[in-house]
Amino acid sequence: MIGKRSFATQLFAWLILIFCAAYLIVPLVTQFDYSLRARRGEIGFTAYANVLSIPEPDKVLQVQTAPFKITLNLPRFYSSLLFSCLMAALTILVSTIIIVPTAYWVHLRVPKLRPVMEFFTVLPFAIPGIVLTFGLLRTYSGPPFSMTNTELGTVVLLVGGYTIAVMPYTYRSVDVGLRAIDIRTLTEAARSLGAGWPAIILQVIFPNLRVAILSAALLTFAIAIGEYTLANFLFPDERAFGSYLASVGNNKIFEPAALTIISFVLVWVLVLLIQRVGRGTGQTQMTGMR
Amino acid sequence: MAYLELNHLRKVFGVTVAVESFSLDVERGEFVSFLGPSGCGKTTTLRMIAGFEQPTEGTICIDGEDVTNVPPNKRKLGMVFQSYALFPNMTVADNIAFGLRMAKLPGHLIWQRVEEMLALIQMPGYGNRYSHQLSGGQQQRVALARALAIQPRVLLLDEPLSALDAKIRDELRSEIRRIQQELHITTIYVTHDQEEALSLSDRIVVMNAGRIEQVGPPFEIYNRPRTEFVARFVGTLSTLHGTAGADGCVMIGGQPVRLAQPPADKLPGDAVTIALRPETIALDEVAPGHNRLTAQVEGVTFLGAIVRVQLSVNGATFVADALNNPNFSPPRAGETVTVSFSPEAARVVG
Repeated sequence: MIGKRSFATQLFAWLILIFCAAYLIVPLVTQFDYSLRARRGEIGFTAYANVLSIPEPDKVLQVQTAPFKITLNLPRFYSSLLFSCLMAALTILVSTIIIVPTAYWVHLRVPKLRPVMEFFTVLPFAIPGIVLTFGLLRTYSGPPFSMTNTELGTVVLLVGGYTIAVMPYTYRSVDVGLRAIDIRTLTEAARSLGAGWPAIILQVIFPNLRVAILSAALLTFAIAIGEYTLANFLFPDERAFGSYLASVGNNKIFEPAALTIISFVLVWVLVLLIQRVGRGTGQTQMTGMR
Repeated sequence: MAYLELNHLRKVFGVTVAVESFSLDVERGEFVSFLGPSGCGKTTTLRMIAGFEQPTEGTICIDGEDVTNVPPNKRKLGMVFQSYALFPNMTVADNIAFGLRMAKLPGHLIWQRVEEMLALIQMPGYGNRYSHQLSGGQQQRVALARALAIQPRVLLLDEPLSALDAKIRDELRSEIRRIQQELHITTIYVTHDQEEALSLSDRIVVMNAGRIEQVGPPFEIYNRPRTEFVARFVGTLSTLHGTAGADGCVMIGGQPVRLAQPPADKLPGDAVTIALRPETIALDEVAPGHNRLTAQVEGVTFLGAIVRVQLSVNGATFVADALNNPNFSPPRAGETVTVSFSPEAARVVG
């Protein structure tokens, strides 16, 4: 009886797993198949070549990657990807610097405020991206701030918007990480050994939250790289990867499918890379002295 | 002037008074234990010394310096926690070196000190391991080494053995005392385990409901408790209810019991409660001048080295401990026996 029930449970679990896998994989497979049919009657990578190839010198787009004034002669695919990667990296940096110490402080000093923090951090789920975008534009595009008048100001707005948009993921990830370690005792141990707050956060809290921060970084990266609304309104010149994807989707037939597959692979490769780097960093820290 | 002075410490959390009128002087190199039940304020007092809690009133002085308002990281105190609190991202060596790095000591001195500490805790060669690769006892040794590495002015231990199993606890207890005596370091040890406090300390501070009940060496605390709470909390205690007799003795179940200190404030016929330690009651012999009580054996418990006999006199129950002797057969339940104890062994507690 128990054996039969156990078999039925297992079968049900497998069916659910197969259904979920199919739900995720089938569209990718069909997309990939479609992207290979750019030439009538042939299977090939023409659409991929169109997206990835360096065009003739006179067709090369010059891009100034704000805010660093790097002039790159790259086709739009590469330049938009680079721009979005840069924005994603900045967002990871900013959100880590803001969220980790805040969540740590709430856990350590005002644990009663945790539900309040949770409420505020899920607000971006309730506020549509377009509302956030118009709010930012309305507030910061005119006096006294006028941030959209400069490249740097617009980048700050974009990174700020992304930081808010990814806050539910970042905060939750860090919150779970903090719950998993006894931060109060670790903090007290470090303080009794003479450590000040910066040393505690950098040498004790951050390394022990490495996995949580990494998860948050991966989610941030995946969201920021394909974000459209904020990027398109703040940089209407289709500088961001999300805007570029939308533009290609509007104007081409097979290339959008190829681009989807490429961006999917790229995000996965970058995710694996970050994971690898994260693990490597941890090892280095842990074997500091002999 | 004492090395560590706690003057009229008081700590209030909301409406709860955790510590009240706590004053204590600790000499340099002394090992003092705070002993008491959960919630008696012993850990709060320790945390005030460490700087993790700010006293509501009172002052804390170490070596003549008032540290009441000094943050914990500037007090130069070592602390060992119940949960070890080793940094999981660091090796054993890095953990021990942490405080030294915070003090910005040169690298070669740090490593020299780490090696010394590893030798002190008898764990040389463990420097490259992580905390998850160590047993509980080993982790606590490393935590002790980490706290000692910075050469603290006072070592604070907050129930460091509570999370360990009995055998490791005994080993580590001896180890802590050995290291403390070797380094001659002033130590405050918080525990609810009387055996730990009695075996380790130069002096014990027995606490109850935020207040000090008694301060004294283990021998005095155990043998001459000043309050009923201390008598009950430290060691096993039997209480016998009777009435005050006409000649200063106490009648227990109609049998007279003479006391070294008769109940002065009791009139004949008043209710009196006397307390007896199980080990002061003899089962097999009656020494001259000792009290005798005829009692019924209720039960016998064999505890290995000790045989514990439950006795009753007219419904009043008490226990007597006898050392296990293979040549002596303990009494059986239902038997009537004569037990004896000296007048000094019985104390009036109510």
